[in-house]
Amino acid sequence: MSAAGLVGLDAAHDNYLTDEKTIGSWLLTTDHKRIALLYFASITAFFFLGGAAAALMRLNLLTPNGLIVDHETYNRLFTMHGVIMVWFFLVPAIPVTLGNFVTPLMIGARDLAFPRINLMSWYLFMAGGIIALVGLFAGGVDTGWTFYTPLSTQYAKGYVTLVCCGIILSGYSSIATGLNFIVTIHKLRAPGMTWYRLPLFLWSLYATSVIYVLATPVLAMAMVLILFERIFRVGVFDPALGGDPLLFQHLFWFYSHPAVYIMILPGFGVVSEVITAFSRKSIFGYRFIAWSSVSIAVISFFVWGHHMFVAGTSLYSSVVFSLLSFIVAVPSAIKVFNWLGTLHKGFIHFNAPMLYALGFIGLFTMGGLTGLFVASLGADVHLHDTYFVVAHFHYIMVGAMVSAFFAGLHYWWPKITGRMYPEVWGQIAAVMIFFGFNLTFFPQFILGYEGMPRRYGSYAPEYQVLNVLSSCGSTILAVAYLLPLTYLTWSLFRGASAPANPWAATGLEWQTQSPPRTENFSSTPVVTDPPYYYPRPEERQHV
Amino acid sequence: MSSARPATRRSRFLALLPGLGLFTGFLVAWLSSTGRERETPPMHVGRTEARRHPQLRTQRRSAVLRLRRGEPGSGGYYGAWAGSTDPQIVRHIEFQYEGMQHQAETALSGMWLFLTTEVVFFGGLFLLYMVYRLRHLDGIAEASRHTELWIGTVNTVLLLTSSAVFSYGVGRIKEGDNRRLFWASVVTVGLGLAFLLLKFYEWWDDLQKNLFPGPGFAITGSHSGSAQLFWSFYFIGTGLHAIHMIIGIGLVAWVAWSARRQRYLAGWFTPVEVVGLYWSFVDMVWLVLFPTIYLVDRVGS
Repeated sequence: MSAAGLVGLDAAHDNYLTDEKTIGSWLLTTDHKRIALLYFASITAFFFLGGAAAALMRLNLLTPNGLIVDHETYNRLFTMHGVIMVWFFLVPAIPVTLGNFVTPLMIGARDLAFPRINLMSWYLFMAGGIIALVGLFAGGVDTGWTFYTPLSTQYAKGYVTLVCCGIILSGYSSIATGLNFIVTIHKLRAPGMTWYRLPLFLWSLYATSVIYVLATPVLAMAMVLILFERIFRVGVFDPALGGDPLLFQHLFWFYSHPAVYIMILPGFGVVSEVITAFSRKSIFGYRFIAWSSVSIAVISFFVWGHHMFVAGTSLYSSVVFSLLSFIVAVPSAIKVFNWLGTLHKGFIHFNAPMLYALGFIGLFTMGGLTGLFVASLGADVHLHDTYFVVAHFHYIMVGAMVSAFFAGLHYWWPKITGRMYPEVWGQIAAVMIFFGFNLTFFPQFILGYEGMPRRYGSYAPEYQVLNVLSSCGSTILAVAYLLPLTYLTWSLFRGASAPANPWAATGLEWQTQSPPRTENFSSTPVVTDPPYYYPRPEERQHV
Repeated sequence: MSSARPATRRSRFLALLPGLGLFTGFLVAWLSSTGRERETPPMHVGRTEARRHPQLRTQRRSAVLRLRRGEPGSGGYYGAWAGSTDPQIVRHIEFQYEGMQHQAETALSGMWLFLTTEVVFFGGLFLLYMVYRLRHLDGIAEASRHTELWIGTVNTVLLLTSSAVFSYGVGRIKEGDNRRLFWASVVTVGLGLAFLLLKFYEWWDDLQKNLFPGPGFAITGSHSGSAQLFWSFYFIGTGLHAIHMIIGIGLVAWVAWSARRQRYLAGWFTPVEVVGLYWSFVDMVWLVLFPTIYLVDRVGS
């Protein structure tokens, strides 16, 4: 407990940002709020790096033969885009930043269960990120983010070894974060904060953490096997010795399919918070949303085979994996319908976070429904490895997930920084992201349906019109992503100072000052209300 | 081909040794725990008893509440020490916890969860082994016969004994006995180092016999490919296990150093218990590696 907290200095000036000011106090901090800000800075850098690679790819695809780079460079570009975006932005994004910041606040704790492990996870993440970046920039990797063997082990040129090491390190950073969240949510809840009073964001973070903890080690092992095979020139998956390259794909997708839910589950949580706060209405179907997060986490471990329908696995296993993939749609749909049920007869406010969240619902529905196309065996034979798949997962991972990230960022921005963001600019950016995104990726559904394969730097001339449309859309999207960076930075210095609870929202994080003091609460809060307790006007009169 | 070399008497005897080691371990643990006064918590009513005898339910409920609050004498994890206000103990409680009981439970659950991730980590490797074992029955049996059974067996005994010794140390520190914990940790480190020395010797020996997969591999003929897969698994599995051993030896050495400086108290010994969990896990991994590597085709056929 800091000395300032004990003597009770002026609340507006005594907070976690101003408690200590040296660089050392930031780099060696164990405060979950400061670590969240360290993560914010790093994942923003990774996001724009990965985005730059994507921009170059879209620029190259303006003409059928490739406008700026040759095929080898193009391969390196999409590998760099995939590796950076998946492991250094999407997988950690919401949990390590927003999750790190609000989890202890939401349950009324003073910090996470293991603050030093939290700091360690940031250093692991940075070490992994820097090692991977050195590999990606020094010579690049041309395997794609999936590192399929034997391409990655015997034929690939470039720095596969280095990038794999970086991925293992960032994987252990994820494990440390997930472990911390699970233990914290179990053991550090304030009196009265029962499981069914937990904010839904924490239910989804809990489900995410389960995947972090149970899936990531398998990726680490898959990467260790690749490293062994590359370093010692020994065939672990080498068919010449009787080894099985498909086994690598099984190990890889056993992590990487659940990883897709690592990316989207926290988004579900953020949207549940934002929709109910800006509808001024208790959430519809609390328990259904909570348990659908958990069931998505569970089912996610049993669908990896749908990435391998055309890889030569047995038809019977494919049928089972196809069926299980369809089942994931059930809890996902439960969530969407419950959000719509929450909006119904709510007092809806179209603030920027709400616009982002509404955009999320639209984009996620598109991405989810097209997922059913590729989950059906017959359609997948046609659509596999085409731009249809690219469009499908970008709707989920970029459209939905980044919208949810921005929704949460704007929603908690006053709490994190103590400043309000400019509302109009926030709304403009939200709308621009929605339209820019659709213009970029909707044409890719058509391209894929017409048969344009993915991972090529050139294409047949008849695809040019749609590709140009897509590239135009990506320009709008790039501007729309730069907008929040600009106005949020501006608001850090010039924004109006934020009250403790600008949205009149429920939840313990709004019960403390903005920005919070280092120990979060002046005394341990006691929870007596049900979650999302927004009494309707007629009820309010009786209270 | 599969019956190339029948299991000799010597190798059968060697395969029995780990069982003997396990038995010795239990014996040591049992002997070290009997004859000492166990602190029985007052008023403790178990869950089953409470279910069978309704009149005990209130008693059970209040006992559980007292335990959760960490009241002295409630018989929780730290027994009489749980709700201690002794400044020696209180200074070890970090600011996010309510008390020593709370902190210890949280730390232990974190370690268990970490060990779960480790199980999944090694699980990926064992999956690979299982698939290859099923596909190349004869080849892997042939390759396994080239391993040094005596080294694997002696190592198993060393490791099991080290775990029993460290458990003895954990038991003693619960009574505040830093001296016995120190000696237990020193013996554990010694046994661990002996394991590693034997392992290094075995690797060196394997390399001398050209058993590292690649060009010039010792096993030729139709089983050469599958034998190389087996030896890849061998080097990856024992290598990762050795890395875990080195980390574990470092941790146990740290416990020894702290115990030497009388750092632990009867009311605060969580790090010892956490390190003990990790050390036992390293043990468990070896208990799976040992039969998959050394005993594939030696016993029973």
